[in-house]
Amino acid sequence: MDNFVHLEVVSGFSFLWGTFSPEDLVLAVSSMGQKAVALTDYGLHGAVRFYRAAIASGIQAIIGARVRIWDGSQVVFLATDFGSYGNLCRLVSFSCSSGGVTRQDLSHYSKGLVVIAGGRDSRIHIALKQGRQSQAEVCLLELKSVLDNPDMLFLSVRNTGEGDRLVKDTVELAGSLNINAVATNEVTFLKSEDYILHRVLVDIQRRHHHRKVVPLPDDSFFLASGGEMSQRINYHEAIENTGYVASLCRGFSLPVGRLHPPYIRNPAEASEKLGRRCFRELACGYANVGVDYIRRLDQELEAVRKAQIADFFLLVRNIVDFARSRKIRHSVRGSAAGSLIVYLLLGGVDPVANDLLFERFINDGRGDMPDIDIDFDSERRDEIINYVLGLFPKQTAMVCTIHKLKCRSAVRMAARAMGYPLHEIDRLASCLPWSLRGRDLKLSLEEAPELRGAPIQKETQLVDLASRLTGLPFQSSLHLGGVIIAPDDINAWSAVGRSPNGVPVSQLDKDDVEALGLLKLDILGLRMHTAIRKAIEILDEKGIGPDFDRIGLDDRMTYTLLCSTHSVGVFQLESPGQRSLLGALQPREFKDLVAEVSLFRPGPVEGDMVNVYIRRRNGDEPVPFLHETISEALSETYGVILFQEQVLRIAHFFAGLSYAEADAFRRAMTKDRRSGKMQLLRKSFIEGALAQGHSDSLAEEVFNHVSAFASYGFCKAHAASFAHITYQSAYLKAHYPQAFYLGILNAGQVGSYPHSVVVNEARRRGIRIYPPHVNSSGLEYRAEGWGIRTPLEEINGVGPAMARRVMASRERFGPFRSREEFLARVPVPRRIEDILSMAGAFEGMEDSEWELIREAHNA
Amino acid sequence: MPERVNRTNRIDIAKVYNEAISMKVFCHAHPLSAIRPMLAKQDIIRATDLRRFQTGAIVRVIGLMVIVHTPPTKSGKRVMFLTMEDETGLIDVVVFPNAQKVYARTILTSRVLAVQGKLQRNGVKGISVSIVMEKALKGWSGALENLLKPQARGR
Repeated sequence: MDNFVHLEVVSGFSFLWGTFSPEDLVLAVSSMGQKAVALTDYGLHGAVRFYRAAIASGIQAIIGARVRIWDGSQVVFLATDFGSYGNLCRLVSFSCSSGGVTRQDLSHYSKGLVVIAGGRDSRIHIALKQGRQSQAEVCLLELKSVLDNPDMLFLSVRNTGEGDRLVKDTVELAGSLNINAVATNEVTFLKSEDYILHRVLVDIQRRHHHRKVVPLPDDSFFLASGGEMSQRINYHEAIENTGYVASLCRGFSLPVGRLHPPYIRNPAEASEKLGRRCFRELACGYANVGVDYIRRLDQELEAVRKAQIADFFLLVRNIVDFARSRKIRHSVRGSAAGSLIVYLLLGGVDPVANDLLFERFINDGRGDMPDIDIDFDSERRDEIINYVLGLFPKQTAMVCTIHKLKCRSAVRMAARAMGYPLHEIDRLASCLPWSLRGRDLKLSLEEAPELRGAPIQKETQLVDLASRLTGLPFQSSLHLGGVIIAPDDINAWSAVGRSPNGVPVSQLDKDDVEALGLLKLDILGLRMHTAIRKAIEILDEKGIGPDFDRIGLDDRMTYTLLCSTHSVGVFQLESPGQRSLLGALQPREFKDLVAEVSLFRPGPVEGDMVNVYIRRRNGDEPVPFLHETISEALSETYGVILFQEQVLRIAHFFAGLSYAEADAFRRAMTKDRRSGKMQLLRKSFIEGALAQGHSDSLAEEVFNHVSAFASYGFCKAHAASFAHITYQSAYLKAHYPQAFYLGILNAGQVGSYPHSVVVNEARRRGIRIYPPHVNSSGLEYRAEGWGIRTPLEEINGVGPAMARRVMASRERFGPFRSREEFLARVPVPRRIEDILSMAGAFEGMEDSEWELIREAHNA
Repeated sequence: MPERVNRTNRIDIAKVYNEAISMKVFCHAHPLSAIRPMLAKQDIIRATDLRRFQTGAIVRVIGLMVIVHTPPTKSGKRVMFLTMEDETGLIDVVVFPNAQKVYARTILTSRVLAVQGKLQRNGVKGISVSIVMEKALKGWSGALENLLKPQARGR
């Protein structure tokens, strides 16, 4: 066993510096026989995944970070327990927001932290290198004086080719001040041959981001064994002290695998309030409330009360109330749409009428926090996010997203770092199609026919480096809609920075948040909501159009439109595959749309369930009969297992499993189909079925049927929720095509097709498309009679700023009477003037003498 | 759904040409409508006319490339789904690995593509039409206006 512990390790989460993932670090440490390792990035982005990987491999994870202090030095801090992890988060937050922690910050938040000073670019190290022992001493004493516990201060001893004298001086300084020395190596690559990757990453920083950074001087900063470290640093105590520091950190653990919801009010009180609210909504929403609704609501409220999550529902209702007050369109997606509570509080599709299963959403077996994902109008989502952040200012932050280098970006960046000229980079990268996606670059170059003979094939070094860089994280940014609500101060859980707009952003990504059991609200944006809202606004202006949230789901014209397969712009049904499926399925009612949304997924397509479904649906093939229970569960889908809820029902009613067991069965079928696990599942299912009185052969047959298709199933509640939006968009297209097209064109990129395709389709449907015009066009597409006027921004080279200038001038001084007047009021370059003219933006305006003068001049 | 298709003889080719140079969308007419008479001579048919043919017919079409979709498959083999558009509607083309070997680069670099392939009609009354590509007749990767130039000049 190697007793040495690396206490200074920088992974790829020190963006464009480190060269490996935390998971690779754990694997390497484990294979070297070391028992612990620290991760000390410039931040805490990789901390949770490192911790989880280390725990899974039986390695002690020491969580730390490199933080800049007041004199510009980088100091390593290591957490010894969860309390000090909070202090570490705060120090990293201060460092992110102000460029460095102050003496006061450190004196407040150093409790429980191990501090390792004397890093490579610290003042102490530089002073020692220059032989100024006394200055190094002053710096070290200053740091020691502000720490909560000076005994937790260590001095880093390193020998990276700078000679034994420096090692000796460092050890002597530590000894003279009664500070322990620890051997470190600032591990930046796992093997010395990866030094080239580090050089390339630093060159990317320099050439691509124009940062003044200096790479490490040589290839010695690798994950050395204890033996190699002892050879480099001939001070046994410094080597041994690494183990001592690791022992100080042994009490550290992250509370992963447990829920940490925010409790706003007493759970009992919250449950009561939720119940009252739901029954009130039920009474208001239905003229005659059926017993089935009351029974279902009682059952759901009881499950929520047991899980003590009523507060969560009330919080989401609070957010939706805010959205309603601002008339922001929204819809629930995911399994939550199968809950009557969610339907009553937030709206959507009636789960009782549509036979949606609550147990897919919440059941006794689910240990994680239920997700209520809500889609809001994309353009107005920020209003919701700001509202939520304002509700709990100290407990909330946005989830972050980690961006990793992909094939194409890796090639571009590596080429830039290697000094290729820009036009050459364009030439090399342009032959790489976007469709490479996550595929390995080298493999693609070997296999993809379009890359045969491509210029990049000759650039072997570039390809090699780009392949090795692919997958490394290179920056973090704001997650589109994930908001964390912590049970207490968010800084106790994550370092928090600020986005350029001042929004607090954590250093936890969505997987980290889930692992820590924190509440994450997904406030998602759906452009189709924006498109529908804009279409409705147009109809409202004209005083036509029904209440879209209350239209019946049986409109003949809507289904006729869908059967014709002219579904460009219709939510979820516009792809080539969906259009083809529409032709085959010929939807006649809402449940057909739910099936349509669920069928066109990779699973059903690959499992050939689509053709079976269509044949049975159209009466070309009989529906087989296995057993009454199965037939009942699968009756709506003609014997095909299409929905996850159906798997739950079969496991529950046929094999007698509880819904919690049935859901565990479904998830295991979907995610973990290793043979050992499958055998256990088979056993429990068949035993359950036998206990229900079924024969052995039938139990076997049903299990085989379920196991073959279970992983293809789609959540019916989610499909129903999406199908509702599909129906609304198709209804608009069928009845109000002009408003529909305007909505789609003015909501940014909605769906798969560019504006040109939508415009062409509108023209084919007889809607006149007017060219952009300086006197008529706005910032968006607008209705002009029964036609559509194109905005100026659709002209090449005309951006929003110029379009605004044109509009401002028109509003202030009236319409432009001639081209000459336009140019006098809105001066534009000659190139833009020509292009405006070609696009027809001056059409119908009187010609002026000026035009004749210019023609004469050109002649 | 009834479709009103712009008739070629009512198209101002100069306007289409100007729009191809200056705009991201086409207000006056689809650019392929401007060269349709020339295309008709080469037996290239329009998207709406595909429904006149039966499954298995060999057809030639041309379209602006809209989307190239390569969804992951269980077998790992890549199937390309192209969506192209002419002046009468969308054209869906499926490209299997054999055709990709020869034409993948043309497909991925073309803005306008003419293909020949076997027609497939699916759905009730064969309402959905797609083409299994056999060969790419020609791909234009350059600026769209270059395709229209001879017609515009000819006027």
